[in-house]
Amino acid sequence: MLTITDQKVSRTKNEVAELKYRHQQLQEEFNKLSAELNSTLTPKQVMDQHIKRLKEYNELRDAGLRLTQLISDEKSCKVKDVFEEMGYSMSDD
Amino acid sequence: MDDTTIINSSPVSDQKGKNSMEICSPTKTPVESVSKYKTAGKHLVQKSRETLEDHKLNTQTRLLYNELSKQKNLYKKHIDNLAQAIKIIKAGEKESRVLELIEKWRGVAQAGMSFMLNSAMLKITKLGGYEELLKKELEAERRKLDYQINDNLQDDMEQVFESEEFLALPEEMQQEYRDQMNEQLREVQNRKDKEIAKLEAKMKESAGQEMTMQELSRRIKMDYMLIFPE
Repeated sequence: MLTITDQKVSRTKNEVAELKYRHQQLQEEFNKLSAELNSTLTPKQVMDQHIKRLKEYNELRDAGLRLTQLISDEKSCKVKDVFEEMGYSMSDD
Repeated sequence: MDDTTIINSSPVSDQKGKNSMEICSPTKTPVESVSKYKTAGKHLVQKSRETLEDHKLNTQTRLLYNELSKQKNLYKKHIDNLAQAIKIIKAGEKESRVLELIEKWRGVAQAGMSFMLNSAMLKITKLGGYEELLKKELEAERRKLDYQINDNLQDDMEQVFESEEFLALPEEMQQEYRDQMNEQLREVQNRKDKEIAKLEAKMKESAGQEMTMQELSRRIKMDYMLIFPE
């Protein structure tokens, strides 16, 4: 069994205190930003929502590109032409 | 061997009895020897007590350290979540852009699906209608099942029945195998009938109907709910 020295315990206590302080600071900043935006979401919910949106964007982009490819095959034209006909740009810039 | 061994059975040696002399020296009385043991025992007890206390202290320190480590990890996790959430909120414009792009690509996908549906309906009309298409699909599926299930198994059976190993078996065993394989064939036939019944039921359900966007999505493997959310 490894022995844990008092020095190690003391160092960890200091680390916890520092982390606690940093956590408080960030929590205050998050609360302030949420209040400005009238948001009631928790940090975890903000992250989940962001990831969900990115996923939705990726999936819709894949679906859109696949469908335009099918149409261009059927019409024997370029994918770019299909986009133009639909009134959309191919790139997201 | 020492002096407690049977007389004359110990090997002859110049050192005979030396060991016993060491343990119970003739210069010390038996009382002195006992006292020596008592002192040694006391030391041992004291030492084991110290070890026990050390062990207790170590365990307590370890528990404290483990608890602190848990707290540290929890704070780290919360800090990470907070930092990321703050970053996302601060980059508000980026988030709005993602929403814009979602709308854009949903628009593209919806327009694409509309085009594909129109195109499919035109082709279906040329074929004689949606019901006719389903009938043709049903026939094709029936042929596929016939080919996959019956033919393969019947070929296998014929091969087995014509093999030398099978013909070398006694008549009773041959009959047993024949019965087993016929049973398998019946099971396969039942399965095929069920599949076809399913297809026929689907065809009846679709009678008088037209191809829908949901049906098309399923056929071209598109997520309908993603493109047309309620």
